[in-house]
Amino acid sequence: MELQGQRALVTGATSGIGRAVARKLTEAGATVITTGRRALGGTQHVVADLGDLDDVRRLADEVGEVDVLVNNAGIFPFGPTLEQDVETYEQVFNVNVRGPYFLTAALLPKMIAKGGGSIVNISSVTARTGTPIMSVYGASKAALDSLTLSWAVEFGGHGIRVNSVAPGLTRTEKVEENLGDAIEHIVAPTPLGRAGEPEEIAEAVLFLASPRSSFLTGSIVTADGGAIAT
Amino acid sequence: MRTLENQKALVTGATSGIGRAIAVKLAEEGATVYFTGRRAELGKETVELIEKAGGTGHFIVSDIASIDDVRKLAAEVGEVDVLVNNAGIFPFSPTPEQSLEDYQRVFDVNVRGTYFLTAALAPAMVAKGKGSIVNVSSIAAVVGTPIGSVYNASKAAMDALTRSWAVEFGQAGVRVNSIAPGPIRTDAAVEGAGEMFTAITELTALKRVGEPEEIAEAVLFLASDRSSYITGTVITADGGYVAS
Repeated sequence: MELQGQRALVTGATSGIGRAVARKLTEAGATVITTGRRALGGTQHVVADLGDLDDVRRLADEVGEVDVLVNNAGIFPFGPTLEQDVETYEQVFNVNVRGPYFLTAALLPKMIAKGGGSIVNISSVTARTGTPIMSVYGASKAALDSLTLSWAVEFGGHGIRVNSVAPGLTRTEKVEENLGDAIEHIVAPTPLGRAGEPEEIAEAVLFLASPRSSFLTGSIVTADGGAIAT
Repeated sequence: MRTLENQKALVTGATSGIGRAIAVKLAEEGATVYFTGRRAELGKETVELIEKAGGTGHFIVSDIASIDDVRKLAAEVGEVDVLVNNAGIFPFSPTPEQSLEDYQRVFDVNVRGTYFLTAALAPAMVAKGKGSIVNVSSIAAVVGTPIGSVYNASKAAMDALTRSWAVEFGQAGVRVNSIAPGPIRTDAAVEGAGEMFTAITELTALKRVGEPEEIAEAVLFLASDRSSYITGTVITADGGYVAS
């Protein structure tokens, strides 16, 4: 198995894409530690809110050394710019950007000492497209993609690879709750004509986490059924 | 089960370098691999490498620059599940000194050949409701270099075809993606770039050039069902060259 003997941390893994990623990495042989705001059974889960810096620091201390870090935790409270309140704005940037930033910063020294590692940031195609109600979310994901580029350059000399997976609309519980029947309308005109499944995003994450992608760093792998090619 | 068991793949330009590594990798994963090239002797070597890896390979002598060869090739190979448009040439030149002949040849091989081969093979994929096309592009498509204007433009054109075909054939279940390699240690690249090749290493984030096998792994990912929600994308495999 391609991740045998490796330790992986997946943030925001109590549902959706994060949960599918945690499963996929486990199947590939990794020892996977998950985080989320909700408690889960098992000793490999740390309750942590990535929006809270104290939680981020405690999480890094508890987890220690990892070979694979998947920065997946993210929130998406959509809203028009003219109605955006400051609290929600702050919360999006705290969870989607500041959390992964300081978590990565805290875990990197041990990866450097080890001489290798793979970091995968779960971004979004909204980083590169305009929509009427996702300005804050899109900007936070563009910032995350930018961190991917910077970290690839900053830590590449240490054998650490950093890449993004940018999913399109993916059928998670939260997306189904928020969009319901609108999902079919949104995806009908896309080339593959369907939403993605969390497992399909997880396969792309596994590719980037594994040695199969050994010459990929600073790349953004779009997994959107062709939506932004149109 | 191997990733591409019972599938048929065509890889163009597989008598050396990245193409050869792709042909061997896809065969290793169970595909029956047809591949093309201009040099018969090297084609035989690729077949031997495929067989050594436990796979099945068939070599067809074909020059992708010739539209007759492209048509003959499509007719001979017939239906495929995976098409890798890898054949490409890179005779670099400053723009003011560019000969029309070389200009034409770059576009004939890198774009026209890819275009009409795909046009000939896509209908069978559409009829089947499934298929994966991988265009081997280059990071040259998104950067400027002093002597690569024609090559770079040809690869940008190829990436545009990737997006168009993803939209054109997506509803039929056919996925189309580009892989854009950075500096890769192939004989042609090492000879072509000379001393520059070593200098390029310092420009990548990983501080090394890539190996053909590393590009082949990315192509395998795009060719297989593991990338089932990925289409119309350009995946950069450049050791962080463009990010720097």
